[in-house]
Amino acid sequence: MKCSDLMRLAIKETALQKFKLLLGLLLWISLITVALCIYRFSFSFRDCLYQYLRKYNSSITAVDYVTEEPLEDLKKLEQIGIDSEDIFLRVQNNYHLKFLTQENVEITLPLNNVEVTAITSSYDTTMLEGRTLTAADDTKDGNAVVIGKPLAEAYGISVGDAITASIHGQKLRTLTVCGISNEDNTIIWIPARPYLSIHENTGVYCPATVSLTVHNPAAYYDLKEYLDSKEIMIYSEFEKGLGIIEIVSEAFWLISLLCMFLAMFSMMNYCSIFIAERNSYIVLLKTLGMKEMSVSFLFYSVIIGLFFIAYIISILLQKIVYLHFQAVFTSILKVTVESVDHFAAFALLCFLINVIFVSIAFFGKIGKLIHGEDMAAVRLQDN
Amino acid sequence: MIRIEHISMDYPIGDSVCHALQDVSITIPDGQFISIVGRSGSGKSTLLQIASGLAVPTQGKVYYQDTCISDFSKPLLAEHRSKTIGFIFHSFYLEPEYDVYTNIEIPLMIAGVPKAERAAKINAQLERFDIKEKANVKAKKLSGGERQRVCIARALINEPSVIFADEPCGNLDGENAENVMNILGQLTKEGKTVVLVTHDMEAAVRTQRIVRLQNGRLISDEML
Repeated sequence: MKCSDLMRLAIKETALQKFKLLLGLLLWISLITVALCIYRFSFSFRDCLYQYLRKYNSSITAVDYVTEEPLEDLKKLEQIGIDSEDIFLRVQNNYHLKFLTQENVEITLPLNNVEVTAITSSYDTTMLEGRTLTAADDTKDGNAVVIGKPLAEAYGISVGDAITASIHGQKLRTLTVCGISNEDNTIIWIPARPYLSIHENTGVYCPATVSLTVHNPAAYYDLKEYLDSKEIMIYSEFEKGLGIIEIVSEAFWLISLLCMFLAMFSMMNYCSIFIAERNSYIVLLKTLGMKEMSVSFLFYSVIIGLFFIAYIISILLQKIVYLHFQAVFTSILKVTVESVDHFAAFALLCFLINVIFVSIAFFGKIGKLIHGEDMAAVRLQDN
Repeated sequence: MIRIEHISMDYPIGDSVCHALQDVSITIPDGQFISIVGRSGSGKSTLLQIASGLAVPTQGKVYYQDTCISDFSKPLLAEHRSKTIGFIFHSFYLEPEYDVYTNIEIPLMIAGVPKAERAAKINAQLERFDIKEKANVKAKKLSGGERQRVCIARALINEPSVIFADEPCGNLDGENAENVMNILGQLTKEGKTVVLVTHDMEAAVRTQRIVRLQNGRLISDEML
């Protein structure tokens, strides 16, 4: 049988689609349109609300980023008007910072157990003895530290005692214990500047996570150019908002996946009904001498052709819906809706997954019909 | 010539087996008008399916012009049906949404006949069966007699040498049934082999030979 004749029959077959079968196709179009829209909406929704929060939400309270040059950063941040009280440095030690007590007892702290803190309201530990660190301690020559209860008890350290910090055996600074914290850990709290000055001349690598407490959102944007080169993490109130946005986005994403799978099953169902409806015609074609491959090609091309048309309609519908959504978001939230990453990939995934499962349904259904030579004849007679 | 040798056909029905045909042998010479008669379930339709290459027998062989078609692959059997055999069904099996012309054209498409040659062949059949004015009418709008004439035209369009007619008058009134029987008789005169499957003895006696089947066995084979 010639290809042109097969295509002609396929086109005739496509044109013969009955309304009840087209309803199945419409259901598929609706589901895929919804899946694509929700997918796209989920990302745009997140992007828009994120922009909105950044622009209008005054509850930004902390911005974290990682730096390898904490001292340089402190200077820059001061230059652009961020008060030192708004800065909280958290140093991650990659070396052993050792401390010696007055009795020359060496305190070797586990890694990451030196909490270098600015003198901010974030530092609100309960004191057992002595005082908390203050802004006056956060100078280059400051030597006040607060230690945890376990250290104090283990080494018999009291308020007013001196301890000596050393790196690689090199004694760097004598520090005075000004308070003992009630916290149940072995941390030594040191203000940022004296801590960094300990390292200033040692050349020891000192990475730090800088936490900025920003009460004025404008300050965040002042920092933007500088922070853009850093990996930023935003916490506190803003983070809560982001968390909700992320949860909603995930929910949207799951709904779009669900719609895609529902669409897949509806298309498989459509395929089965279509083949069942054309059962006697398929048997007739075989009886008249059409080869199995030609019958498969004829009906598969109809199914895939219809499926492709439906897919194109879904994409166009999705585009129309999305443009409306974009207009609404732009006008209400006054934000720019940017193009969505991975949308093309998701749309392609929808197409391919559906093609695969429709093909499985098609060849499963038609396979039984085609390969059972006896059955074909019996059915013809029975019909 | 169709030679059927010791054919048996078994169908599994649940856990049991239905012996649709048991050791049936018939030889049908070219140009013979033969009827296969029997009650429902006697195996006559199964015999038609096997003789036409629609079904492969459980045992035995079917020869067409000394070539064993039982050993044919599926594509070869399909080609054999397309070029050698014409089918006439009691339910017509026309595609109701296609017009008469397209319904008759389908076997030509399947056989790969060039489009330029098709019109002349189709028009000749339309004229022969007096349905030319219905060429562009959808099959669903035809009367029973017209549908059967389209079905016969479709069966003859590839000029097959054998016609298998399964209860061709089953859905027709007396006049149309008479016409169909006349057409089948005419085909025999043109040298075609016509195998009529029927339970109507009035139709059967108009053929040259009656083969009777009962419970899957051949019980008589008489020339008229």
